[in-house]
Amino acid sequence: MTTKTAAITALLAADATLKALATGGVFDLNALDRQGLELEDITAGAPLVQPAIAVRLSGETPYSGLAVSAAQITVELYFYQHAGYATCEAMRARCYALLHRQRVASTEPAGEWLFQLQWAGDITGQNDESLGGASMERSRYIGYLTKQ
Amino acid sequence: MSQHFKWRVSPSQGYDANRYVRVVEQGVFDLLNNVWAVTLENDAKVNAPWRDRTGNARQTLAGYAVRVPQSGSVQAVFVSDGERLLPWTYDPGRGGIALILRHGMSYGKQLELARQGRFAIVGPTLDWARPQIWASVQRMLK
Repeated sequence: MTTKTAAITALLAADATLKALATGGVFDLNALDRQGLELEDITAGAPLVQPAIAVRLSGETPYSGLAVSAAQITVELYFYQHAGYATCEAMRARCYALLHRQRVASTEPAGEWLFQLQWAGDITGQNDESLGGASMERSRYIGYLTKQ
Repeated sequence: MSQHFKWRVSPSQGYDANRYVRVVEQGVFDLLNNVWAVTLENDAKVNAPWRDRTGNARQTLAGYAVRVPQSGSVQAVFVSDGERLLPWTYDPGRGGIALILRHGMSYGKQLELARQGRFAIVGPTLDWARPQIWASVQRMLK
């Protein structure tokens, strides 16, 4: 059984290019505890924040324009690195290549069909004070799915 | 036998396309500003997931619509990544109407982005409303 975020996380984690970039790991936020991603998760004992990606399903809303029982989902990807934004940009670009206009199959909950994900914008050049001021960028993808 | 052609109404008065466009734009603006901006602001204030300390962050959440001039841009503290409703925000070369929901405090950006969006309210509220807003605009134009 694979949830949507787990399926996306698995897809990203399996990519060799992304694996070489995101040395801190790819995290499914739905599978973490309520605190979400914490500094110790992406430092791995080292003083520096390792480049990492966090995947989050931030919203699922009824969508009346496509079909009855359709929903629009919003998936957010958070990219981190210790300083600078070069690795964040590279990870962001690779995720775009893997996800934009792609269908990511999930099996849980049953009876849902995700048509495809579409890139819906990035926020670049930020810092996350909750993670020691690590460099942060965010990508958003929107997908449409039918529900039984 | 000669054929006569006579304008019953002057062509310039018969169909004023510019006026039609102005009326449609005003209707969309009123819908966004008087209905959706109020709805978004109220929903954001009610559903903001953080626990208040000063109450400033919650009180200064604001929703409004603005006209974007042909060669202008919109200034807002935090504009959600637009899908269909806000392309003009990102393209100063085109005019339009922007519906904005924004934070009023300097740390609003941290609330939206820190801890992977755990305390976000602007983005999720716009995500929730976007299909409904678009559907209401389409209904109005039918």
